Amino acid sequence: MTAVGRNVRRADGEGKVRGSVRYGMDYTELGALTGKVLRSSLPAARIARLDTSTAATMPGVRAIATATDAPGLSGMFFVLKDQSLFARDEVRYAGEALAAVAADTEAQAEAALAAIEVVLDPLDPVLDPDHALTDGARLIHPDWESYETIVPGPRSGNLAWESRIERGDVDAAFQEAYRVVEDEFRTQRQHQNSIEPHAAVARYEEGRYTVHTPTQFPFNVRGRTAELLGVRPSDVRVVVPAIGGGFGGKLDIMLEPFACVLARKSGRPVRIVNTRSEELRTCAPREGGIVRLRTAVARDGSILAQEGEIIADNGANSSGETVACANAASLVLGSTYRVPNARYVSKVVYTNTPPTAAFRGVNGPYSVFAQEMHLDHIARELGMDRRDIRLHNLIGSGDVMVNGQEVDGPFLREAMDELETMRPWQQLQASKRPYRGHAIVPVTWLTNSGAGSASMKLNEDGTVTVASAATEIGSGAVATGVRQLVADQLGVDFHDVLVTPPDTDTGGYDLGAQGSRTTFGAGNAMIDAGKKVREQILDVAANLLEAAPEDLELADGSVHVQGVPDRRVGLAAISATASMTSGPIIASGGFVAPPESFDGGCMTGALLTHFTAATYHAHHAEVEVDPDTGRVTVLRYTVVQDVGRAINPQMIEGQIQGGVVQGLGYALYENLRVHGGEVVDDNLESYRLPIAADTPPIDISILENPCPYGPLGAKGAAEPPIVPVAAVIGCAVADAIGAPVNELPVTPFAVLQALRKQGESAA
Amino acid sequence: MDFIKPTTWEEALEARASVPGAVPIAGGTDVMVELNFDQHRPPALIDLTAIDELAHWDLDGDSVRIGATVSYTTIITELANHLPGLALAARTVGSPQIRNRGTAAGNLGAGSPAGDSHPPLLSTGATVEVASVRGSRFVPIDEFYTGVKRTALEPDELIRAITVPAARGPQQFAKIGTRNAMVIAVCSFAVALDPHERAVGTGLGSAAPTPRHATDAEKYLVDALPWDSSEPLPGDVAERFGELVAAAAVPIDDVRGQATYRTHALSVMARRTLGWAWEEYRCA
Repeated sequence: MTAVGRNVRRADGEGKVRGSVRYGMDYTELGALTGKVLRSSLPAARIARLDTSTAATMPGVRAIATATDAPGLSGMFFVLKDQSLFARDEVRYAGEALAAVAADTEAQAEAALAAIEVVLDPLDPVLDPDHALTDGARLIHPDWESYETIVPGPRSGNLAWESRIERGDVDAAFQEAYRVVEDEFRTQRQHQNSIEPHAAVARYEEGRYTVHTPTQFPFNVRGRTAELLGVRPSDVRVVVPAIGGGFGGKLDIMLEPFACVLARKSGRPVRIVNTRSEELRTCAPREGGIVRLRTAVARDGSILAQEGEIIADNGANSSGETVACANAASLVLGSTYRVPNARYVSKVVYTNTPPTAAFRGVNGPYSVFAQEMHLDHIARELGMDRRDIRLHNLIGSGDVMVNGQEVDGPFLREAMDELETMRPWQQLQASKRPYRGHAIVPVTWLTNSGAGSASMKLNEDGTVTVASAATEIGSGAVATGVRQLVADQLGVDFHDVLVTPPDTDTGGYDLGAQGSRTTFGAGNAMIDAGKKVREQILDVAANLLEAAPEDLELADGSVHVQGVPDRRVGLAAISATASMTSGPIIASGGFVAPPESFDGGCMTGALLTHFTAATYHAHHAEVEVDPDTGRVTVLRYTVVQDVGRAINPQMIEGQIQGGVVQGLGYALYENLRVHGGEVVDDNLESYRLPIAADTPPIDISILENPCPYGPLGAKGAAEPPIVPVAAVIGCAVADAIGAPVNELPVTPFAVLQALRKQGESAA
Repeated sequence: MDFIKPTTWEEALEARASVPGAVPIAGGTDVMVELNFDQHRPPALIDLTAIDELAHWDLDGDSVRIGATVSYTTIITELANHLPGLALAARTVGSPQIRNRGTAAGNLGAGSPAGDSHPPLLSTGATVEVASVRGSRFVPIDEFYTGVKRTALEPDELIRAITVPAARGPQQFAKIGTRNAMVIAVCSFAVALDPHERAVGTGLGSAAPTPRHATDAEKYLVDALPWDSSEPLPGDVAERFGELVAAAAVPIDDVRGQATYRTHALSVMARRTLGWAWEEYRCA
């Protein structure tokens, strides 16, 4: 039986359910010391004094590291290198590392931290991104011009990076507009809150560092650690134990370089594990955003032109993906609806706050929230139905996105039509009750195009082992998806496909678990390797069966002659024969997504330029608002999602449910507040994650529009379900109360305020 | 830190007297959080869970005497008829695991203004039975709370039981949190009607430094309720009751909510719980 399309059980499922899996935070090594990091209590200061001499003499202390031990500057994806491992002369955020200690016990390490003498002369912190961009604002990086960048990018002072898209004649279109509508939206920081905190165990042997860390992206950790320590990437080996969740929060280095430096200085393995409070205070969340939109529309609801300004809070440096993803905000604003004339500018701004980074969907959720609330505003101005205005402007076959990329089919329309069969719009409109609301949101999203590679061998027993640096972040992509692809390609049982744990010494380069790419990118690389393994198998079998390779079929762990099922030879025999004749069966393969054509001339500062393997979605929600308390109850949620080809439908449904719930948290509850530069919500009592009792029934319909270069047509599936959720909930709440909510999260307090404001304007 | 596990009440009192600062622990739902976050490092813990008599409740005439280690789950499953207000509040505590461990007496011992047990205990006029090697005494619930996380317990005293009058009329409880479960209350409210005595009890949680009554609201309602009729609750009575409850609150702004929201929400909960209680009364 073929594996693809079936709900095969995950290869790591039993261990995870039984609790026998060893996660990154469970891993340690014999004689490992405990590492702890001393962090700044102030958001902005000059370091007047940092004296570790007393701490160094304390019992059990084996090593202390400071700025001189980590000479390099780096930045996420090597885009903008403005990050040092330890603060040098100046502290730029509360939580920035000042020193690190390794000691025999945790208590000794903590005592040593307390004994380090630190004198900080406070500077005036720059906290508000809008203020940071004003002329008089203090420069957070006075040496900004000296930083290395991957490509020249528009930047200046506290403006860390800027990306722009401009197409068409925007000003002329505004001249012709029937109406011009303008809005501003503000959104909060959201923390990934994986159940497993960051953890790293490093040792230093023979001049090389080996670090075990539950990272989503081992090659990034290798390169970034090397850069900060001033060594070569190949001097660092990254091994990945089971990962206890990441959601983007484990793409980048966090504790690995500290563990490495301390291991070198102490000559012992060093283990560092974050507390939950350290996670929330220092591990980079989704950035807070400000989105300003101004749109020219015709009388019939057509969007004539749109101007958008996106202000993304980078925090104190570019150690997260915020700079690299700046252009994604503009792309997503202009890829769901036709925007024939557009001017989008995305500004990533330094502030004296903890750095921000990737979180599932990066800047998509707040850009879509802004665009959809804004569309409802336009619909109100024009007296149009909210679904009609969306269908009227919906992008489809023959249309181009804002970057000039052609849309590959009428798939958004199909998603909207499928949703209509599940939740008929007019019927819901007609049956509306007071303080009930609903909303519908279509969205186009992408699959990360990044490179992957794999090597594959046929074992002596006829099983197959794939060596890869692809990581299993929990989505099932490695535990099911890629194994299903290989199993069918080589005609072996799903359980006979083994995948090695990620190790940068043995696995080829892989861009990591991000942007829904693992089944797509790593899967394609494995299929590429599998093609060559398959050829080698057939060559050997052809000799044994005295038949031409093209007459042979691979199935059920053996090769047989087409039409003559009895003439067969098992894969174990083929493996044995190969090792005595043509040589052991092994091959490697690689993949990077083919380029899409787009209009490169319309963009500046864009590191993400186009949509690879675009996916098409429509979400719907029904909510009820308690007008007295402001409480929002989500009654029902519906998702129509195009996945290209559903390799494992159950895993996809799991991703959709998880993405929606995480989106509900972002829409209604979660808010990593920063006051005066300090994180307020440093525990899970005040930082509110959604739980089962907050989760509505979620109805799911999976659409399959195969991608020509996806593995068996598959496209990314894990990231998109979070992207439109805040927009759907915001629009549905606005529908329920008859007033817009232009900030996230939509708390009971915000709902009451909107109701009160509406009451005042009515009076 | 020492761990003391007495098997009799006398041993427990002895331990409490002989180790100043020792902290009693039953479910540990507050104590363990403080220990885990290193907010408190007492010289000893006195584990009360091995003392059999504390784990039981009895119906004693018109009152229910709840032992100090009776769990919320027991209150929900066994006492909902006798103490509907307390059972409703117990249902909103944490998760099933926490309700299996946590106790109402623990709520009292911790003295947090956000404890879910306080409003129903206040609204029903409960009595706290405390004891030390010096002897026992009965503290009316109104006198038990003395400040934020401070109570009338002397340093050598332990809570032995809570005595709550069995319900003689409808009781209701409402709580607002920042999500639908596993939350500490932003604010909470309980109301108890006693048609025989024509008495009204209230209790406000997270509304002031200590849990408290809304005394004026109670007095107002005693006179304003149409006790002898089975008509629906007059809207202006509910409205006024809500205002008086809100007026009794002196809440603060904190990470969970704003003072203005708390005051507003208390008036909403007061109106609603009274509405539910009155429906139950007039339809009975």
